[in-house]
Amino acid sequence: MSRKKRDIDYAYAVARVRANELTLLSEADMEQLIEADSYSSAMQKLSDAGWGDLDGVKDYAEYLENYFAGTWQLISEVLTDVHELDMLLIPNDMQNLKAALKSLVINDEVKEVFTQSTVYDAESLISAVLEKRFEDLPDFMQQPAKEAYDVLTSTANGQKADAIIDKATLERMVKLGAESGSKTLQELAERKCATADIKIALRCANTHKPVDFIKSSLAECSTINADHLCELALQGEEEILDYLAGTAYAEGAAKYRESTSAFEKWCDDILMECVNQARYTAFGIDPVVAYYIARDAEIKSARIILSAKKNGLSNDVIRERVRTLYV
Amino acid sequence: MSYLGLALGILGAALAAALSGAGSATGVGIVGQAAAGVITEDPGKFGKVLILQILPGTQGLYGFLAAFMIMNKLSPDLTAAQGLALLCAGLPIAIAGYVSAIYQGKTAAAGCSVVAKKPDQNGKAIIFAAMVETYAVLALLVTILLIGRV
Repeated sequence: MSRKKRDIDYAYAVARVRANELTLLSEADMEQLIEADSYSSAMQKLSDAGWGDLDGVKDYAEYLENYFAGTWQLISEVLTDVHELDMLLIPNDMQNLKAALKSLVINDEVKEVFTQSTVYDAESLISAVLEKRFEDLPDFMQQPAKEAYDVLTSTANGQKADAIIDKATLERMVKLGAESGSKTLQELAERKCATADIKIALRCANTHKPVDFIKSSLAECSTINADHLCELALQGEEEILDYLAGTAYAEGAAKYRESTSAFEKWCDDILMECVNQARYTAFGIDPVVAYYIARDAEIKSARIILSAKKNGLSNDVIRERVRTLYV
Repeated sequence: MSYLGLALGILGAALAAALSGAGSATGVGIVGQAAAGVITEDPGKFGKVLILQILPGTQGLYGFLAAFMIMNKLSPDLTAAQGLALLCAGLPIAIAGYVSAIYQGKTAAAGCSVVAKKPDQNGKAIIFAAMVETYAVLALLVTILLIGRV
């Protein structure tokens, strides 16, 4: 029987992560990237910062994906048990589930699969879906997988099928966060779930979705009342924002009123706030989690900048969207 | 003839060496893990992290010194009271050595993160860890003074 890890058991992991934090982009680096005069110049700056060789790189998505794979490689090396981070990885498994279900219904090959950084073996999961062996899926996936499959085959409503899987993902994240024993992971899961619910409710209010769709999309979490949010989504956007003003997510409502991109940025920034304390934590899993989130935010910002450069957006628009950094 | 005094004296020497040695082994081990993490990423920092790793090792040496001094006092003629006094004399370095070595190890391991991120600040990391040493030194002094009184 394995004993519970003590904070001090992460001494090696924390030291390696701290050494790697030196390679995180600073705000000055990000500003230079924003000021780059073209897409290729921005790519060159990333390459110069050690993000990898540009030879043979077709597009920035692939380039950033390869860079993030390096982050996962480091984390799987420093943690003796990567299942400690299941809460962060489970969305990748659920993405594989979605891809497999779609491929099963349209009878096409499975695209955009996460083979690394997953909790469950991607190949086994996909083959179980393709052979309709839903009972071979992990327990918590079976019901949503069957439900989504029924929706896809009976109504071809891909949006509703996705909503069912997304809800199951969020609920699983909250559960894994609570079981992790890490306050940071628990808080992260809660915030991810709450912000996702807020986004869904606002989108449903704008597109006048029916009640059954909203109910099948909103996940339960402790800081947001999903049932109440569902009622408000039927009433309208303003009602949701008024409700949020009285919750821990009041700032989100203000940001939404400002602009959609400011709200999207806020959704990511509150995750970063959650891990910021880990900068002063000497041991434990929190600095490792914080590093993972920091890299994720950094890569998200790089993606925004590169995409904006490619589409000729102004530097001010890019600045508004770039995420808060960890360093 | 009773050898109780001798047995108590030996116990005092054994505790001084064993407890402070165990503390040092734990402390050095903790720093070693953190130091290995730093070296994996930047082998050039070996010298800086080695100093931090050495720090929690001193308690083991203090325990050895105390045990040696107690052993010099051992003889079959020791009375039970003298033996008990030697046992008590060994306790300060045994207990303070054990506890301080572990905490010094933790402080020095945290210092390895300082070296990893801001190598120019390694002097401060050493000072933080060295502060813990004060209490091991005080305990050794008390042990030495007490042995001198037996």
